[in-house]
Amino acid sequence: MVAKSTFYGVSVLLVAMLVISSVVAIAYYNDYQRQLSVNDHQSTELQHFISRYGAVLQANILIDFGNGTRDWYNATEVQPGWNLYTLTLAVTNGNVNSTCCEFGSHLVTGIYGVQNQINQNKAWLVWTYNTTSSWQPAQEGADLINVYNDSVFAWTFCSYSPSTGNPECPIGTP
Amino acid sequence: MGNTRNIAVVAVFTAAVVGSDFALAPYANFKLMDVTVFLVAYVFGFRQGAAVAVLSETIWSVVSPWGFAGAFTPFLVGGELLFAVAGWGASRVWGKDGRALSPTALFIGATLAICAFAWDFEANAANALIATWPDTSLSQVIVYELQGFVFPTPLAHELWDFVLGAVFAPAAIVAMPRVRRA
Repeated sequence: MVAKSTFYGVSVLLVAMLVISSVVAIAYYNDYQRQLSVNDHQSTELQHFISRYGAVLQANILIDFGNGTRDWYNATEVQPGWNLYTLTLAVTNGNVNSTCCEFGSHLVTGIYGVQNQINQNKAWLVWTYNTTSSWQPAQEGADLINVYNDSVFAWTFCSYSPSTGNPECPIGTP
Repeated sequence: MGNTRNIAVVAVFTAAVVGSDFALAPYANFKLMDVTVFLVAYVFGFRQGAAVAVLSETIWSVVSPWGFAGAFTPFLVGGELLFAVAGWGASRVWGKDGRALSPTALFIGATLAICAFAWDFEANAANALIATWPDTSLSQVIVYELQGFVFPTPLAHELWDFVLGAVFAPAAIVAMPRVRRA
């Protein structure tokens, strides 16, 4: 026969465990609801910005492997504030090798496993395009080139002049 | 003589509670008030415990570093009286077992944890009442209750009271009557 005091004690202990677990559950529920609310707020803000500044931007980028393979990524969706390096990472799913950041930008050393060959003066070079001057070798690193709506860029794997660094390969019209 | 002793008990423990409240002021919800009121009621009886609860909570409501509690004071005092009732009731059930972490110690800790929950629950309801009066509705009280149980404050209150009850209270239950006899 269990003593009455033990029965009361065990009952109190069980109720206390119930109370403490309930408090944990309520606290978790509260935190969950708060996070939902924060997410809703941020989602609403994002919708507001998209409707105000236009949805996403679109850009075009060519990756020319120098062996006849030319991959165009047209109408690639980009976000305001992206640069060419970000865009390159996005279209290649991160298949980019680079070093960072001697001149304020990543130096791309390989794309899709095709690595720069410094001994043979071959490397990945960046080009920008506009309707007035067509293709031009970029004068700055990929991080410093902003991407706008309908921007056109190219990465070409080709030889360059060891003295000037200028590309020594032609690039076709987009 | 008995009255003098009772007054001395109430005065000493009220001073101890208020003093410890100030000492522990930087640590919200870590107070010795709950366990002290419980212990005084457990060892000396309900009236003494209730007196310590009313006096210490009233004084703390006025002189606390966070300012005067105002209309909240009666609810704080009422909540603290729960510990006096629990201490008196527990003494009638479990008697004087002075071993820390014994089954009795765990039962006392559990009782204190339940009282802490009841205190938090009552305080949240009081908040709702004061903030929404005279348009108070049940749904508003529920909202205040849910918002009041935000991690980790109430949980810390209950666990702290449980630990004090299970570890500290049994030793005090044995020691306090000896001090009284000395």
